[in-house]
Order: sequence, then structure tokens, then C-alpha cells
Amino acid sequence: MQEKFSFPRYGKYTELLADLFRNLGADVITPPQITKRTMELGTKYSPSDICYPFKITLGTMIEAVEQGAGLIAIANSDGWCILRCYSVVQEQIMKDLGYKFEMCPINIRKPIKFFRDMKRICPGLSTIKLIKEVIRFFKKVRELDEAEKNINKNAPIKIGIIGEVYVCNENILNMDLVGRLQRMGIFVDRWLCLSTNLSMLLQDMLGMTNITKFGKIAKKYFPQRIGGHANENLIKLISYAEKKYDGVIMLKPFACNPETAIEPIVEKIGRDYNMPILCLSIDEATLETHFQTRIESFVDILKMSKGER
Amino acid sequence: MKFFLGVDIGSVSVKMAVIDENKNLCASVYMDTSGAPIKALQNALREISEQASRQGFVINAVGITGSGRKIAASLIGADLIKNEVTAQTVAALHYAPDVSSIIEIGGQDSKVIFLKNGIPIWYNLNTLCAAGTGSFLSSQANRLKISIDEFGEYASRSTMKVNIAAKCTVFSESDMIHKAAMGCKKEDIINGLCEGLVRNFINNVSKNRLMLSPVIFVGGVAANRGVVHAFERELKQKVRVPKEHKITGCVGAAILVSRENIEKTKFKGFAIADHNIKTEFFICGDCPNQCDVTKIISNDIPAGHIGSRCEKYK
Repeated sequence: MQEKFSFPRYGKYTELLADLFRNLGADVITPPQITKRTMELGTKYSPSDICYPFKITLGTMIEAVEQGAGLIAIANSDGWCILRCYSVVQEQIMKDLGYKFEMCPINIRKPIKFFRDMKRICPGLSTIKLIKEVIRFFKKVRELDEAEKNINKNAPIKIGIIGEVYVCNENILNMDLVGRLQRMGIFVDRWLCLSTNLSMLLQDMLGMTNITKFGKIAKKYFPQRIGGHANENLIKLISYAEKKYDGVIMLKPFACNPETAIEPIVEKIGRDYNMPILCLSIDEATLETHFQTRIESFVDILKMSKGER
Repeated sequence: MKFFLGVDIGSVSVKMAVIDENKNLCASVYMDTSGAPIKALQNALREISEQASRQGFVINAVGITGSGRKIAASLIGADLIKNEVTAQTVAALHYAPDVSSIIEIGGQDSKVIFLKNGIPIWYNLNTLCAAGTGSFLSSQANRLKISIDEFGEYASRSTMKVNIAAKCTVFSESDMIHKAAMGCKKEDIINGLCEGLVRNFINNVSKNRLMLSPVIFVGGVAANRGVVHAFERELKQKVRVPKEHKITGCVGAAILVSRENIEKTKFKGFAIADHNIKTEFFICGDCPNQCDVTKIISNDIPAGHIGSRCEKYK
């Protein structure tokens, strides 16, 4: 019998991902919404100092297995941070808790293994079908991302969002930051959406990250590869500054190592370009009031410096 | 003449101020919440109402700020709800038009705002930790069995430098006990705490950014001379404390609302002070968000809800 398959949620792309796997022939359980229970489960069974996405994905996987999933996939391709070890550690934690399932880490950087893993999830999968469905998936993802960028297109205030990929994309974790800003009448660019993320990954695999115009400037500020999306964030930060954005919000989970490490560099770039930057650190203890106050104040400051009051 | 009421409801105190069209302060009140913010809000309102009837003014508009601004707004009615950063900035510019840096330390909040030509360019608030705020100092004062009001005076008598680990409230307690056991004097320990608070602030809140002069220090903690002197030593410059430092937030809210053209105020009147106000808590189970919703009931009539993420309970 074919194993039921599930994966951790990935923001608004979750349903598209579930459809993709379904079309490829997997027996998909759409990962359950992140609720308080998910956060509690994840926090309870994770090492306490580990980054927030680890806890949330663990919580979701536990709930998916409770709903009958026997095979769980988790991405580990961008892993120059501890995302690399998510699958191994989470599998151990869940097996220690007595859950019966199999873990299947997905790594796009290794095409042969990637295809083998996909075949395990979707029995009888052909290469042509995979390519066809993936292209269809990309189109839908792009449509979704374009829609977000069409809101408040001509607004006087423009804010760019950089940070850690999971909290940037999962609205329940980032307390709908983009929506909050858009309702204040602001144009928001969240570069770390899935479509750009995937094209960045491709660029990186081809070793092209640092040859762009902004990439060269970023390299002067920070020459090494550090992991996560830290280098890409610096490049994007510089592009926002050069394109005269009014401000940038950096979102990161508490205890996320690469994004925390580059904070002084981010601050320095903000000073050099005279662009206000707000760093928000998020974890399970973040209060909605605190969050809203910080965003409102930031927007007020941007408006005041534009002379609007 | 029009009169504007500003309300600042924070974690440990409620502040109210009334200003006229020319931004003159007509009435003000500062009240500790002592764990019952709604009671304190009502008491403060009663006090303002007494001052109002003495001086014969009526309120034309209300501006509310502070962490409890939503709950306060649903109770007494507000024409403007503004965050603390903007309110403090506006107030600081009122008291010192040339201000370059604002330090504000309250009960559980500490913030820094940098300005250039009267326009805020950068700000930061404490995150995830309240070490280095008023609550930190008052819990240590408690521990040392002295009143928080005497803190500054004790610190000024210090003769020896004592380093206290002030990164975490609990650990700094153990460090204090350790230092006391080593024979350090109370004065020196208190001064060490003030310096620890300042170190924390410089490191976590202002992130070691250069603070340009003039520096204005407001908020409840600004009353503490020990902390003011510790800031002056650390920043190597004079730190100005306006005499209204405790109420700057609500003055800012009042100024902000005075700039709006409010025709008809949403203020529900001073009678609110005598209403029987109850709150009910429940978890809304209608979607996976599972919001903690607080329902406010004023004289048996629902006045509003707070805590819901969607439009369902407003």
C-alpha cells in the first residue's frame, strides 16, 4: 500500500505544493494549519535554544503523522545553516517519541538523488511528468508572487523585507507583516518569495551570486559565504537602498545564526545609505502588541522623514 | 479655547495630561496601576475630571498611547490611537526643539530615538527582555528592601565601583547577593545596578550607536538620579531631564490629537470613571489562530473586544 505523504507548511505555497505532489501521484495529506498546539508541540520537544522554524516544522510534522502520514519530506538544500541537520535531528526526536514514519530529506542541489527521492514519494513518476508539473507549479507560484507585488503599486512609501526565509513566508509566524503594512497603504516588496528564492538557488548553483551589480557591492561589505540567505539578503538590501526604498524591515527568528551574524553589516549598510532599518526578532514569545507598536512606529518615522507627518 | 486629553497607559502606570490649543499643560495625573490597569485608568480619569470642573474646561478630543492603548480606547473612546514612539518624539520636540537623541525608559519598555533636524531617523525598542527597564530596578530595590524613590540618592553616595551582571534580572540578583556577601556596601551595589542598566541599554537598545547632543531622557526611570548620572558618565555628555519626564508620552498623544481636525470627539465622558467595568476572557475557536479575546463590559453593556486578529471581534 502506498504511504500517505506530508511535509511542513510553507506559507501560502502550502496548497500549491500539496497539489503538485498530488498531481505527481503522491497520496498527500495537506499539512495542517499552524496553530497554538503546533507551536506548543514544537517548542516542547525541541532543544530550547534552537531556531524558531525548527520548532514549528517539528510541530507540523508531528501533527501530520498523527493524521496518518507515513512519509515526511523536508527541504534541506539551502542548508548552510542548521537547516542541513533539521531532517536528521527531527527524525530522531520524533522516533524517540514513538512516532512511526519515514523521513525523506529533499535536496534539489543533488539532481540524481532528488529524482530518486521524488520517485519514492510519487511511485511510478516519469521524468517528463515531473518536468511538466514542476513548470506548471512555477507558473502558479509566480502568479501568486506577482499578485502580492501589485498591491499599492504607486504608494508614496516603499518598504523592502529581508530576513530568514521561513518567517518571511509563513504569515502565522510573521503575524501577517506584509498584510499589516499593505493595509497602512504601503508598497511592500518581499523578495524572499518562492519564485525569487528558486531563481536565487539556481544562480547560486551556477556560482553566479556575486557577479551581479549589487552582488559586487555586497561582497565589499561581506566577502564570505555564510549560509541561510544572509548573503542574498545583503545583496537585496543594497538593491533596495540603490532603488531608493524608504526603509527595510529585517525579519528573523530568534537564535537564527546566519541572519543574526550579519546584523551589524545590515546596520552599517543602513547608515551608509541613510536608510532606516528595523530588525525584528521573532519567536514563540513574541507579543502581538509589541510587534504592532514597532511596525507602526517605523512607518510613522518613514512618513515623518518624508514630510507627511 | 479647545482642550485635548492625552492618555498614556503603560505596563506599570497610567498617565494623563490635558493641553490647550497653545500646548500649555492645564492638568496632569500620574498613577501606578498596581496590577489593576482599568481601576487606575478610572481613578486617573476622575482626577482629571476634578481638575476640569475646577478650571472649567471641556475635552474636545482624546489621544491615546501606550501598550494598553487599545483597551483604553475601547473604554473611554479615542479620536487618535498612536504608538509610543511617535508620541514620545512629538513630546520631546515640544520640550526641546533641538533634540537629537531621546532616551525613554519606562516600566517594561526602553527605547531610543535619534533625530536629525527634528525628524526621527532611527529608533529601537527593547526586545525579548526587560532587563534595563523600570521593572528591573524596582525588583532589585525590593530585594534590597529600599524604596525605588531612594535609589538615586543611594547611588549618589557610592564611593566604590562595583560591577553587577545586569544582563538578566534573576542572575543579577544572585550577583548582588554575592557582592553583598563579599562586603560591598548597599550604595555601591545600587550604583553598580544603575551602571549595569545603562550598559544594557547602550548594548541592547541603542546598539552602541553614537548619541548626539542634546540628549533628552524621559520616562519613569528618568526620575532616578543614579541612572541619569550613569548615562552622563557613559555618554560623556550632559543628559537633560524635562521636569514633565513622567508624562511626556500622554502630552505627545495630546499634541498629536490636537493636530487632527476633530469635529466631534469619540470621548465617552468622565462618567466612565464611575462605571462598573468587567472583563471576560475567552479563546475564540472559530479558526486555527485561536486568539485570546478580552471582552470589555462597561455598566453591563459590551464596550468592545481586544486581542482578536480578524474583524470578528472589534
